[in-house]
Amino acid sequence: MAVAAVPVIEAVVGETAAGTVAAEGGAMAAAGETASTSRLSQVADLAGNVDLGDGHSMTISPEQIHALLHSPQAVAAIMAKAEHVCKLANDMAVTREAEYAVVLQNRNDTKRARATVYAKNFYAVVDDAHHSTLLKAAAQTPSD
Amino acid sequence: MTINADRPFVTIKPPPMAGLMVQYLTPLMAPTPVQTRRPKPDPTQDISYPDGFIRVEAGGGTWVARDENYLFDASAIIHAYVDYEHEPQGEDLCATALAWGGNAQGLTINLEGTEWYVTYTRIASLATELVDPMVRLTRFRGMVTWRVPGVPISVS
Repeated sequence: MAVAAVPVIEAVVGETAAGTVAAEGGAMAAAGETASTSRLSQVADLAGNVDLGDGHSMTISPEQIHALLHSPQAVAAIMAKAEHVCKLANDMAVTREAEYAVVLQNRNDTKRARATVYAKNFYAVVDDAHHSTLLKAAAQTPSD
Repeated sequence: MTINADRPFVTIKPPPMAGLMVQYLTPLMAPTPVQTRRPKPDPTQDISYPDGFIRVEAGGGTWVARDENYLFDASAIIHAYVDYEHEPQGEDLCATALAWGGNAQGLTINLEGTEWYVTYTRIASLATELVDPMVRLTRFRGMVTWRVPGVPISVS
């Protein structure tokens, strides 16, 4: 999934290692590695500064991180995963007429887009209570 | 169908999670029974399970990416049942079982003569109160995922 490189990293301070980190940061953005970028945002302080050690630091852009986590490519990846879980749940549902569905949350006032697989009708509510269908569907979805 | 040719690859058995989890949790959760069947409370009694009841169900899983058919992420769903009006006990029971399940990393569990090494564990879902339509008890449900190497059961 190609994503146009965005200036997620605003500044890098340091010498040789900094060049490597900047290159990796650019690669992450270009490859759309939103999970990695999200973890990066967790180690930054409120101003977006990341201490890399040995006198190196870099500054990331919270606005661009936000844009990345709400980008069409990120949303497509999230929806693909959720729809896979949903399909598994619908395939393994035992209760007749049980239906599971996916709902997307992509509001701008949240940190990232999220997709939820849920029991769409009462048959699915009973099915999940009886057979733990959603847990089983999630368990059969490989980690990335 | 008869196949005469030797298999070129080893047959790898994925972990039987329900059996492993029962074996692992039984001594840790005593005197609470840990079983794979649903509890059957006596409808004439207010208290059927003074120590609660834990049911383990295989949750399925998958191979670990890039280690196809060697390492498996396998899950066990843990159901903690208690009599009505004992909800805090039920939540604590489920959380305790999940806690032990989430800290099996580095252990080897012997199940019917086969040794299963647990490389990594995590609590995949916390205790959630959800009625079991089949059982007249309060239920809390959660899930534990173990990363376990498959065991070779054949070389030909």
